[in-house]
Order: sequence, then C-alpha cells, then structure tokens
Amino acid sequence: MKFERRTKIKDDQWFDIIVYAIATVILIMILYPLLFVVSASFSDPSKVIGGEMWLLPKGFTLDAYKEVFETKEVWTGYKNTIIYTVLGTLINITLTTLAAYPLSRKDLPGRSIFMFIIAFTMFFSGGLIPTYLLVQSLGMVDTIWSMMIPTAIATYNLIVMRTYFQTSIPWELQEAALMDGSSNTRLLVSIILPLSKPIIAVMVLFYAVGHWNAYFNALIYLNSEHLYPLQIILRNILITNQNALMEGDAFGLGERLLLAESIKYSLIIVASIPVLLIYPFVQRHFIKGVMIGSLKG
Amino acid sequence: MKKNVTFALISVSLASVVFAGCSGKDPVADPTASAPTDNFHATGFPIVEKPITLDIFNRQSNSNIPWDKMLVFREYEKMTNIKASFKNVPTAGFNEKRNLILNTKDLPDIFISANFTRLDAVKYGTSGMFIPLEGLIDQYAPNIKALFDQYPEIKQSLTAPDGHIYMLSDFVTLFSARTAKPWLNKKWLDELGLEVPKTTQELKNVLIAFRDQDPNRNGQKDEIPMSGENLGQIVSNINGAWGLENQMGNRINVQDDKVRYWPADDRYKQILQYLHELYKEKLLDNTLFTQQDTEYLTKTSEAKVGFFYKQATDTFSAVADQFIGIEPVAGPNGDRLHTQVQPIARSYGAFAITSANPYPAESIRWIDYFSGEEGSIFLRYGVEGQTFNYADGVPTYPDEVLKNEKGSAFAISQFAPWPGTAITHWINDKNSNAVNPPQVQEAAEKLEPYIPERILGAPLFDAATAKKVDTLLTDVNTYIDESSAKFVNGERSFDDWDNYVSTLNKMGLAEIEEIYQEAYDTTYKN
Repeated sequence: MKFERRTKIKDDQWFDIIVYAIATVILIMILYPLLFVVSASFSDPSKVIGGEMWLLPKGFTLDAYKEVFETKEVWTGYKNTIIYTVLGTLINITLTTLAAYPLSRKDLPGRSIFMFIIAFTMFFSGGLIPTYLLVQSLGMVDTIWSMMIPTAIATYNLIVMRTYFQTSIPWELQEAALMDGSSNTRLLVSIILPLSKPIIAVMVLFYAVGHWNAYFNALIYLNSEHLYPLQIILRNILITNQNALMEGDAFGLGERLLLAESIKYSLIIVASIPVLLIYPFVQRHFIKGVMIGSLKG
Repeated sequence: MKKNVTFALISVSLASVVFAGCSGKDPVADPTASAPTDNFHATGFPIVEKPITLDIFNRQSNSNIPWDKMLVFREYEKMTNIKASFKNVPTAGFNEKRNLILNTKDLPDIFISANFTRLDAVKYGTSGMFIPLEGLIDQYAPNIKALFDQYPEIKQSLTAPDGHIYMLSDFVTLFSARTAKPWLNKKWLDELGLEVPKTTQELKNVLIAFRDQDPNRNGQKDEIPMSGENLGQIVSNINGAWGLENQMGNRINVQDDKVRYWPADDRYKQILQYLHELYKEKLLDNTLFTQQDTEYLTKTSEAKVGFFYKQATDTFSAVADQFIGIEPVAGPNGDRLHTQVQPIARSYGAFAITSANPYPAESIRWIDYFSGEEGSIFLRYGVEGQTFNYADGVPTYPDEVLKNEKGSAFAISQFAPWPGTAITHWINDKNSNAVNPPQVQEAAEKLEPYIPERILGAPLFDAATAKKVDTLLTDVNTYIDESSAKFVNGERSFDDWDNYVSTLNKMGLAEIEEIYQEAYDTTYKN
C-alpha cells in the first residue's frame, strides 16, 4: 500500500516536471519575440541589424522613440484608430446585443429562419467587389463610417452572444419578469444586461482588438490621409517593396529602408501598448465568457 | 475562419479580374477624332482657358508627401489652369486598391506610376479601358514625339502588338541612371598595394587579399570581400564577362537577329562555377541567400564590403570616397561586356489615360511638358530660387536638401514627386545631378565602352501570348533561381548540370526562345 502510494507521488512529480518543462518552453517561445522587440526598440539600429543584439538592449538609445513621436502621421493615425475603436465598438455592442437577444428568445416567430440566414453569411458572402460597390453606393467610401458600418455585426460574435443569453440566463427568470408586467425593453435593460457583463466584456475585447488591428477595410475604402488608421500608417512606414531595390525608380528606397528598420520596433511598441494595457483587465472575463458562450446548441 | 473568408474574397476578386480580361470589347474610337473644345489651347500655356479638373490615380511613394501639396503641382496648376485631383494611394497595398478600381469600373481620368505590367496594358487596353495614345502624341505632345524620333527603340518597346500605345514609360537617356556600377573598395586596395583587377581571375586574387590581409587594419578578419543584393543581381552584372546579355528584360542574347535564351548555356554554367568558388572560399558573402536588404545596405554603408554592384552612391554616401567604380572585368574566354543596362523606356506603365477621361488632349499636353528640357527640370527641381539654383549651368538642389538628415529623397519629396515613383518625364544628363554625382558619372563612363550596341526593352505580347509567357516564366524562373542558388552554395554538384538542363528543356525552354524570337521579329527587327 505504502509503496504504491509513493510511486504515485513520484509519477505525479514527473508529470508535473514535464508539464512545467513544456510550459516553460512555450513561455520562452512566446516571450522571447516580445522581449526582443522591446529591447530592439531601445537599441542602436545598426547593432540590431548586425545581429549583435539578442536579448538586452545594445547601445541604449531613445532616438527611435523620438523619431516616432516626431512623426505627425503616427499621431493622426493614433487619433483615428481611437475614434474608430471607441465609436465602432459602441456600435458593435449595441447592434450585436439588439440582434442576439431576440434571437435567443424561443417565442420569436421565425427564429430558425433568421438564424439560418444569419449563419449563411458566415460561409457565403457577396465578395469583395460587390461589397465595395454597395459601400460606395451608400456613400460611405472615404468617410469614417466605412470603418464601422460594414463591420457592425460579426456573425460569429452574434452567435456566441445569443448562446450565452440562451444558456446562462434561465428562461423562468425572464418569464417571471414578463408576468410582473415588464416590457421587453425593460427586461433587456434591467435584467438581461446586468447579468451579461462577462459576455459584454468579451465582446468589447473581440471587437475593440478587431478595430485596433483593422487594416483591410481602411486600405480598400479610405483615400484621404487624414482618415488613415494607425495600421495603415504603420504599413506605409514599415513595408517597402523589398524586391524593388534594383528598379529604376528606386531612388530613396534605400534610405527609407534604413529609416524603417531603425524605427520599426519602437513603432510596434507604441502601436501595441494600448491593447496590452487593456488586456489584463478583461482577461478574467475573457476565459469565463468564452467558456460560457461556447456553442451548446 | 476570418483568414479563410479574406482568402475567399481575394480569390473571388482575382477570378473576376481574369473574367474582366476575357470580355473583349471593341477598343474605343480614336479620341483624336472628337476635336477638343474651344477651351483648349493646342500650344503654349495655359493649356485650358477656363479651369478643368483631372482625377488622377497616382501611387505615392514612401518618401512622398501627398502630391497636391507639392510645390511643383501647385505651381503647375497655376500655369495650366488644370487642377490635378490626386488620389495619393500609398505604395503599400497599392495594387489591391488599383485592381479594385479597375474592376468596379470606377475609373479615374489618368493613372500615374500605377505599377502596371505589360500584360495589364494589353489586357485593359484591348478591352477599351485605356485609350490609345499614339494619335494624341502625334498631335499634341511635341516633346514626347521628339524623343520618339530621336530614339526609335522607345516607340518600338511601347507599342502593343495591335499597333497601339496604351501606356508610357519614363524616358531615361542618361546612361548612368540605367545601370549598376561595380564599386571597389579603393582604400583597402591601396592599403594592400594592389592593382585594380581587369579579369575575373585578378578579381578573385584581390578578393582573397581582402579576406586574408586585414585591409581595414583593425586586427580582425571582419572584411566581407564581395556581397550583393541577391544572386540574380550579381549574375546579371558579371555575366558580361562571359559574353551573356540581358536583352528584352530577360536572360537573352541577341546576335544577327537571332534570339538566344541562355539559362542552359555552358557559359552560364561557368559563371555559376566561378561564383561557387568564390562562395566556397568565403570570398562571396556567405549570408547572400539569407540576408535582408537592410543588412546588406548597412554593410555597404559602413564600408565593410570590398566589392559590390550598385547604381549610385546614395545608400553609402558617407563612405563613398573610399570606393571607385571600375571597368568591367574580362572573363576567361576574353569576353568583356557590361550588359546589365535598362532600356531608355524605363518603368513601363508610368502613365495611362482611361476611357472615362473627357479631356484626353488636355491630359496628354499636361504630361508632355515634363518630357521637354524646361519641364523636366521643373518636375525634378521645382522653382528656381525657391527649391533649386543653377550652378555651372546645371540645376542643383541646395545643401539643406542634399544633406538633409532624413535623406535627400525625403527632402526632394516635399516639393517634387519623382523619388520612388514613375511619372512619365525625361531623365537626362542635365537634370540628374542628385542621382548622378560626379563620382557616379565617372564610374558610368568607365562602363560605357563595354555596353552592347542596342539595349532592347521587354516586348509587349498580345494577351494570349502574354499569359502563356507569364505561366512559363514563373515556373522556369523559379526553377532557375533555386537551382542556381544550390549550384553556388554547393548544395547541388555540377555533375548534376545535365539533369538541370534536361529539366529546363522539359519545362519549355525552346518555347520561350521561340516566343521571344517572334516578338523580336515583330518589334525590333529592322
């Protein structure tokens, strides 16, 4: 008996050791690039390019940050991205809730038809060009609305939210409220929403990060520099056509490449900090919310 | 999931690009037939009496500010009475946006610097989206016409198989701007008391000395004897030593009206063998196949490299006085050519007028000015006294532009559009001292005796042939590049050369040669 128990402990220990070892490896794999970027942003660019810097900053300098903060476009981009993120997320949350809640109610007539049509769009869409034509006809091209309205509801998020309403809030509770004479609006505002904080937090994170990183829509719909979000500015600064060095019209490309290289890392840091700052506050809801919202039918 | 959707969207859009290409409409009627209105002046400025606006879809380079804010275009609007409404599409993501515009038929009046390929030109041109320009040029573009007359190969290489010109290019008559130069580290050479190498063998000896004798005198073996952007760049520059040329924008020799496509040629094998030796002995940078462009640029800008090819000194200007341009080296068979030269009609696709443009005559006059002597200086230098001055009769940027800490291209881009873009204009020896300082000009003069008599630009194929060539070359080039890299770094032995040749033959070597021969016969044969 005793012997058996001891081996069991030994087994557990080994198991733990292996788990920790694997976890450490994964942690390093994820942490190293992050650390590298942070260190590189404080280093002398020529040392980074030359491969001399690998973990801690070499030739400490704040020049790169100075350069970034002096670049006007970065600030315009920042401002725009914050507007798109805040306003866009607000629209997202409002519309997604207003769509998800009715669809979660079993007494909604034609619910399965609506659900089918909505789910259908997850797999089939009109395609890039028809979508562009639609947005164009609605007069939204080159306005801030093109960054928010076409993506106002993400089907996947809608379904997650609907499932949450269906499974986490007992129908009996809602029925009781209705019996007591509450209207549907009152029910949603006073009962459902206060009970849905975790899922709303998760949706805010999903949508906000989506807006923060939104790039393709901006590329397609926006033409004016003063409307460009941060991601477009980043791309314009950081990505130069790598194969164009030999091209005839490449004058100045070399110097841009070197400039881009020198501010690359600080730019990445500056652009990611807001998301990194928000994440810890939402993280606990995040795990809970997704688990609850996972599809149970 | 999201990725898949994006991918699906892109495939759908690509498919529709292809389909759009297939719907062959008749080209629009010759625009010169409908006479411009009274508002239009056929000569002199302003171009129009009452102001008009042209919608221009232009690619804005990374260093450019928006074009409408540039001094050059603000002034030009006053001169011409034509307001240019620029879209200023950034270079990153430009092609996606351009294709979207073309497919939604939401056409601007003019495309400038729009990265069009020859295939695009033929496809969209024959479907009627771009109007033929040759009639307009004859009537309203005296400057471009003069260049066509003086250099017949320009018109030849711009004309599509159906006889129309759908797009223009830059016109580069300045030889130095059309070729890369061999730069040798003179400081190291003098330090070791060596002669400038004249043959490939001598070059190898110099490189060995660079490697072994510590020419930078820092006690460390940190010298890189030779480097390059990539293998293809080195090959295309050194292949003249084996008598191979780069005609028609490809690996092609033309002799006595016979086109020869040479990737399976024995002389190409000899080049690769030579480079393999250099690579094996660590004379050729062993990070050649892995380094980033920025790493390479940094190495040259810090004078760590002994020998490399580069068009100008702009990226290593701080150490440029350590380097000299040398004459091309002669090969083991006595060949001594320099064949990496771009045609005069460089950067094809720099300008096109769409069928939606109500003012074709006005548009061609608008662009033509920049191909004249006065206009080309205006486009490149701006206004005298404000952004440039004459020094020794040649326009010159002031020092705050040339020595700007953010780079001269950045400084020029604050008032003129040309750095990093392709806008149809004339680049000659009188308007290029920024890209062509005396040192670069000197290096170019050393190469000039060794260039082939004619430099042929890539030809325009008809749509069907173009698609075929595109498919063939994509596969063949990938195979050649991969195999060449393996031959050079020793991963593949030269005993395997016959296999390489027979694979190439199977992939359609003869067919490529035939297609180019045909194109040569129709385009360039006199």
